[in-house]
Amino acid sequence: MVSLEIDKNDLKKLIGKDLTDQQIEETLFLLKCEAQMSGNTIKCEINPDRPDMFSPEGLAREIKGFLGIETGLKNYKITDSHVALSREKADVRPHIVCAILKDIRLSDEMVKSLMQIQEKLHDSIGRNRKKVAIGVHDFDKIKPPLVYKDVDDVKFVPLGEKEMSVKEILENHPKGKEFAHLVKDKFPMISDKEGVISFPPIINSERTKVTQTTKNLFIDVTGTDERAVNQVLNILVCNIAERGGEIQRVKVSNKSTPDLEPKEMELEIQNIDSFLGLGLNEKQIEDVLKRMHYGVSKVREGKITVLIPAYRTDILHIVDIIEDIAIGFGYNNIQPILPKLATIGGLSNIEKLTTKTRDVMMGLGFQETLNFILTNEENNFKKMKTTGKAVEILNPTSSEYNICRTWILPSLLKVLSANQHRDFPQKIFEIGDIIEIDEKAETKTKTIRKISCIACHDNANLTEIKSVMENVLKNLGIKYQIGELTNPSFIDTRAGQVMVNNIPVGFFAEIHPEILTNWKLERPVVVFEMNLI
Amino acid sequence: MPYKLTDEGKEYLKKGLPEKSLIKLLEEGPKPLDSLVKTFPKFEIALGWARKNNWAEIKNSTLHLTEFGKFYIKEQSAAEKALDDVYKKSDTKPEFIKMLLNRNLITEFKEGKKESLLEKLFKKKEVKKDITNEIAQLTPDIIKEEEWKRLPFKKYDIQAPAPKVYPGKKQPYVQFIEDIREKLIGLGFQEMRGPLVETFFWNTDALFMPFDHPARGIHDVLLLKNPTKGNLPDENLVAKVKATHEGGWITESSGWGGIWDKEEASKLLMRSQGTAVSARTLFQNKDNPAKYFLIDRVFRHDILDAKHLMEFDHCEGIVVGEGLTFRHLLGFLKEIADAVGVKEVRFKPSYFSFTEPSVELYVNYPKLGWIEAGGAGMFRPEVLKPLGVEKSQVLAWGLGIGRLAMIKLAIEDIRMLYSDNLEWLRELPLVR
Repeated sequence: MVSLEIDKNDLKKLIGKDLTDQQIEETLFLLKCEAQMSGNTIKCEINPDRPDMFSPEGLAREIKGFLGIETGLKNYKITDSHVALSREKADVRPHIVCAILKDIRLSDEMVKSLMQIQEKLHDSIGRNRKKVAIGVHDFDKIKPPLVYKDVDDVKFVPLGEKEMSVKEILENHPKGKEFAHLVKDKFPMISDKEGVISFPPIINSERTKVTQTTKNLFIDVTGTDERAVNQVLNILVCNIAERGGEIQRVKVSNKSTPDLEPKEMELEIQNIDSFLGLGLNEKQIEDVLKRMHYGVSKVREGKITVLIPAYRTDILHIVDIIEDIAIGFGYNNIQPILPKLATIGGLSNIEKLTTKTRDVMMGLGFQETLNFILTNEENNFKKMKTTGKAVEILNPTSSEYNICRTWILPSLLKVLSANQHRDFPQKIFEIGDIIEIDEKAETKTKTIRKISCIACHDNANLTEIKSVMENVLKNLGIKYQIGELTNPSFIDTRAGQVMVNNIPVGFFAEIHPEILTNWKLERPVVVFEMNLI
Repeated sequence: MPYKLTDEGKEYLKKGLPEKSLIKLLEEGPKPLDSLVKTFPKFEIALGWARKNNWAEIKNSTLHLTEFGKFYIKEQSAAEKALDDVYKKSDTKPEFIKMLLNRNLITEFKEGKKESLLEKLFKKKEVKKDITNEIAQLTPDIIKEEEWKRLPFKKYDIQAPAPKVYPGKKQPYVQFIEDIREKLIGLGFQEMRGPLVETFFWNTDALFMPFDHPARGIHDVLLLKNPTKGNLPDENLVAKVKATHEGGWITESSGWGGIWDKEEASKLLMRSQGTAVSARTLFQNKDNPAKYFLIDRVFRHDILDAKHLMEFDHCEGIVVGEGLTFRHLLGFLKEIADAVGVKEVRFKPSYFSFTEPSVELYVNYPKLGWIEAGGAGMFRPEVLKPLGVEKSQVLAWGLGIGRLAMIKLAIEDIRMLYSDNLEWLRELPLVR
């Protein structure tokens, strides 16, 4: 989700109608945005698929359409400028597109909105300027023609600074330091007759900066993905033009940008209905599409040709338009129904077994607990005086949770150690998953469901837990053998291995006093743990 | 009677039990624990019993008197009565004898010489004689010899507190989850399973999330240091997913563009969404009409606090069938809201990279208002076609069960769902 702060009065001015707070909130809700009013500010949460709505101009456009105030495909005034930019060797950020916006009135609201959308586009589609970066300049201060190429070094005056070399910018300028990782030894520069105007994706020049008296804007968008740079430029120019002014194309090598030609897609009425089940006719669909600002160029023989606005970068497939038809119709107007689809429900085998084993444990008077699978070396191995291999996390958020447990017993001892002041006897269990490394498996690991239970009180002993174990195994109908087990976690000769067809599947044991001390436990503890099979 | 008071028992008989003195002190008002520790004699014993009897409770390091405690300031407690009874050598219930013995307030009379079997038998008779006036504990002998016809039963104090027992119980969150499972099975959903460690292929790529999507980055998911790479599924499927990402393949989509990287797709992570299991299941199921659900663990790059868990349970479902529409999806969402006891729902358009149209479910709780309860949508053709689902629509939904469970269990800290607090687990009534 992308969070925006919008000036309420500005939004109302752009809509051209005095809507109540509730009307604004509800309309935005039905248009995919969560909005919260606080005074004159609207806090909006926008889904990342709609970067065209990252500004009040974009939001106003959608609201106007939805409420029928202004519908159909938007026609922004666009002409050719005589400005050209030649792209020479530029390998760092190979793609560049530009545009000019003429006769702009830079109100405070507009400046704020422009800064906000720039930041949000950088963060989202721009992948923090790596994929796309935007530069905005005062066009009248630029002396064309322009050149875009990678250089080894150059000196210019970056925004708000004195003259600096590239090296100085990357080492000393805050923006230089923040984004230095995006350039290595070659540095992309946009220059005019008088020198550098922009060092994407890092900083613009002081010379071409936008001020209160700026009337005409020059926008450059550079990046590593051709589709993304065009999308960002289209969104920017269309949203700025919502406040008036004229868009002008710039000749970038042999292509003119921005390209605002709407793309076409053909939809079948029947197909729309197979997704939505609303039974809408051609006329209704055309109406809804227009309220979502699509153009409709042809309607015939059950087919509709739809024109997609250039700022709608989220339309990959007709299903994206079909969703817009549902949104335009209003999710609140759709009647939910259940399909006639007879299927038989049930638990997975392992969950069935879990449920049955849980019943036995409860009958034996054990309290169920639920613990995390993530743990650490200290708990899983060291405190237990054992070693082994576990799945390790590369980027844990805490050193407490940086491996996956390989047995449940430590989880249960941790619970005990947190409850030493409570009533005894304490008898607890968990039926949960552990993860083992398994080189042969598709995911190089195996998820294994286990039952583990412990009893802790003054007179806890192996006989007690053995009878629990025998009870569980007998009730699950498992034939088993008992083998000897030596493990540093347990008292020697007071531990046994449970085997099924001579394969070890679990153990029962009395915990060694040294281990109890590691967990700060003062009473004997006995355990039974086994794979659920 | 074979019991006598110990020195400690005698002291308490004279001065009163320490827990009693403690609640008398608390009658003045709550007292901070640290000062009580320093000033109150035998504080540990007093506190232990006062809490066990539910006479006092600790709140913010201060000891408070409970309503129950107030009552016992003037009333004789079971322990006091028992102590008195032993002193006066009158009848005492065996469980009270046991309690006094445990507290070391009474001891057994030690005879000078070892009792012979004959003496023991004789003594038994004597004991029986002792209760000639009334029957306290009904015994097989009394029944057999019909002594109950001659003697009255001792009056039982039905107001006296009974000893506490802790039955084996299901974990509260498990109880909540089982209720949801039951409802889903009733709706015809079959449970599906999948591994907790996943490849990016199933976790994200098969779900048509762009290869440079932030949600697959180091700040959103838990990546693995060991092991690091898994195997990709059959080549045919991998080729289809790659073609779909890059240019849409036969799905009539434009795809995401760029180059889809096989190496990235084989990297391992802790499964971040149950939808990975949906993708695996669909690949097996193809076009067969079916409903599947999953309630299982997923992992995220979050720091553990009252609102976030790095590991939690996800609930999701898919419905596969020809002719399914968005209206049916909303129908299921309404039904599922009903499963958690909510009647009033609201639908908001939303975005998930693997579904279109997408929707969020909002539910209305009487006191809390509208709460986002889950997300849903119809799987995109870019997801379905490569998995071999040719003719069906697939409705998919996920439910924020953690949040809903918190409301049901009336807890404000999400960590409580996996609580290690034995007292809470023992005392919380069943989830109904």
